[in-house]
Amino acid sequence: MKCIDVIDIKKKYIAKEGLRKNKVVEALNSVTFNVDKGTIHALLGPNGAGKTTMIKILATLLLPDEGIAKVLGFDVVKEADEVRRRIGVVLDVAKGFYSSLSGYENLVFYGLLKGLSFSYARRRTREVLELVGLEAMDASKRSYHTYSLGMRARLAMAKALLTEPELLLLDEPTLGLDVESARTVRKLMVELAKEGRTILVTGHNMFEIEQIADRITIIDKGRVIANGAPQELKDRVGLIHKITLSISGDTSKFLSVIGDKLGIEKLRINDFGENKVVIAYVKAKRGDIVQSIFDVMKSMDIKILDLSIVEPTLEDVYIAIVRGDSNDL
Amino acid sequence: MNVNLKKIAYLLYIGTQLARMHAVSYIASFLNSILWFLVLYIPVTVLSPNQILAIKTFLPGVFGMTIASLSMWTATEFLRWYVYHGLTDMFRECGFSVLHYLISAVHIDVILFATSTYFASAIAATLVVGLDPFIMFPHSVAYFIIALIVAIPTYLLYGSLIGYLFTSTSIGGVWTNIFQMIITFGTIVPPSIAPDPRILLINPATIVAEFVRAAYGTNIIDVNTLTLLTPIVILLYSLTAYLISNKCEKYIAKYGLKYRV
Amino acid sequence: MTFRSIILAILYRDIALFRRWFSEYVVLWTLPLVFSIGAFFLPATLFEVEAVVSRFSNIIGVELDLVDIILYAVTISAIMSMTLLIVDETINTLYQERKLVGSLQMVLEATNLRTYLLCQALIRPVILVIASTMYLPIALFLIAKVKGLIVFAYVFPLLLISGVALGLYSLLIAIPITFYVEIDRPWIIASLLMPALLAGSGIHIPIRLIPLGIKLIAYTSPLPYECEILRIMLLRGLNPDILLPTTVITIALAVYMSINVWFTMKTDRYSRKIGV
Repeated sequence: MKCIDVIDIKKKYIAKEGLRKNKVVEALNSVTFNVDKGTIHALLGPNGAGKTTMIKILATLLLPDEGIAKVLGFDVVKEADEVRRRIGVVLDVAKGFYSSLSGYENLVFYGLLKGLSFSYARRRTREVLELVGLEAMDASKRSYHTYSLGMRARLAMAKALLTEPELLLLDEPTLGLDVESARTVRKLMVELAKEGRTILVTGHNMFEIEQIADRITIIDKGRVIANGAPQELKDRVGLIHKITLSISGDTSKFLSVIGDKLGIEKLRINDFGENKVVIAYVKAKRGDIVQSIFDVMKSMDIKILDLSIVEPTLEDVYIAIVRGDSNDL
Repeated sequence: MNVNLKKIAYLLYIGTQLARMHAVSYIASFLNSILWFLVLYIPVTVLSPNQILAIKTFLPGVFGMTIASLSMWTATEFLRWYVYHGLTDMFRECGFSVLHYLISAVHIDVILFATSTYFASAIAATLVVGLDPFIMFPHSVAYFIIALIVAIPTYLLYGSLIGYLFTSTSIGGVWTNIFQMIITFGTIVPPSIAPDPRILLINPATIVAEFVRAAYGTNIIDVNTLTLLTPIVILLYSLTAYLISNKCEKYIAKYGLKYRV
Repeated sequence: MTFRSIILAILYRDIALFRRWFSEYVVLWTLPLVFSIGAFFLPATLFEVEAVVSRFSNIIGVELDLVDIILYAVTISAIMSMTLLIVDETINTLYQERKLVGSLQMVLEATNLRTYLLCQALIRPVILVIASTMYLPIALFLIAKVKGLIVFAYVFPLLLISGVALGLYSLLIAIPITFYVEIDRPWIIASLLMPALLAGSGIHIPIRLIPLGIKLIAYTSPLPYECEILRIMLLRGLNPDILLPTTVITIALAVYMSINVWFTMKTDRYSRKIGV
């Protein structure tokens, strides 16, 4: 059984324009994807793509117009209570709590709403506040309105973890966090996935997503336009690797042989007398590149002084997919 | 004190534009004031053996009270809600302090709002108990005008004072309510309650209320005393407001301004 | 996520808020008290106290003394206090939860809107009545010793029932403001409704003396009947005359509750369609 099963979900918003006119915004249009248990699955897309709408539907905060969405086998519409028991949600990290209550009081309130006993809610609140580092900041007793953005994001994470849910739905959980805090959250997500929890996360920081996500779904204008593991997406799009070689020897012959094997898209040579630095953009897999270079090196009198192969990043993949352009470097 | 008339005119223009943006709030406050007035004054008038005397003595106190309340809420709006929305610093970047903000609102709050609310409440009060509304037209317009003139520095004084207290101490918004209760003595509660009515002149709003009462001939403190005090009070309140708001601004510049609930 | 857990959560939250905002409650106790006593005794600053007492006795139709009137004024202040708090909190808190603070989202992650709103409408007014009238037994005792405590004993249940009815009434206004209409400043509505209800309910004097125009708004709420029952109980003792307003309040409670059950169900579905 998949942890999340989304089949043909559609959702429209109707926004009023002036007194009589209504504008229909298609947030989701036949979105289908699934998420395996115990994985970190990233939902990516430009602003307004429908990511938050999808998260809210799965969190039972929004009703889909059509289609079926199931969380851990429970329908999000018909069995909403069962779904709520099993999920933890982070939506807007900047707000969502009572300003006058402390972080501690907000979480105990939430725990009680969720059906925890009073003593367990208090104990569990202290645990999660400790886990996210708010206890160390002495923040749990301060009113929420005095919290910085980083502290609010930590509290939102603590709330999501309060009931030890099987599934975490995280909408941009590191938005606005400093480097250290963002790293802490990423580390936490990886640890939670190792424990067997499933995480569906959205975000715009591709470097971050690339580090943690097992699988990615890209949404644009309410439709799924790509789905797969990060490496699969890179391979599918067929992006170009950037090779930087520092070599001594017959450069032109070397390049001509390499070019035949791999196909060079772009080339630049910096001449430093005996040594040359070659920067080549090659459309091939990393393994093929390395193999070809070493094969040619063996057969020719060439010394490789330095070699770097820079893979396309997830950001390159994302931009290429969203823009429909794989040549963008 | 550098009185820059051009700057004052500019401030008044800003205040007018702000008031236009908050027109709905002003209308709601106008209706709100009349309704609250009715909650208090229907029973006061009904229970008074002489209803006309009661209205002419108690009603003017509402004007004095309104001036004080408006200024305190305007000042705390600047130092609380505008801080929360990030607008206070925008004013301060242009060299404006809480006093400038009060000056910008004075013509709307004192001349327009307080006066119209007063007369609307007066008409409502008379109609409700079946009296002729025209009895509330001031017999002496001159005293009413003097009341308006004195109301301006009174407004500035209260606003600056509460602004400074709010900034430099840890008092919350609740203290504005407490001050309002204290200010009722001399305004809504006539000075006759004191062994010597002049004692209640310690409340700056008392002189405003007394001048409005004088306009109906129901003043408790002698008109000559009030008239003698007028230039002193105008100078004293204006100077004190200026000094306090300067202190307030220095304090903010030194320690910053945090949003406090 | 049962009724019990939601009630417990609301209780916890409101007690925490009460502790945090205790100083505001002190003002809430004092202002209506001063207002109420002022309404009766302001005329005494101009005229003789006996004249005012006599005038009030004539209006009520019962011979009263000064202590009776003070007792009455203090008890009436509790209705003011309760009304201000319940109407303001019900309307503004729901709006803030949804639109400003965003904490309604946290609630809906745990339960459904209908259950939450109904629990709030029933439990919160009880908490708010207790919070807004904490000063009452002390004040009544100081005025009339044991008699004051006896007055509190039969006034307090009335305040509780009235508070719940008022809470349900306010929820009928809070829901459309929060979910169905785009209003920038909903607190304007609460701030206008409170004095309109109080002015038109005959809170200090019999409602027959209040002009019709002002009475009309108040009659949509249970407040005029609460004031009438209180007036009869305090000034004439337990009397068959309280049967009619009591019946009206009971019917109003049932009507408000029924409408709210339907309305909250409709709003739950609607809010999930448009998003919280």
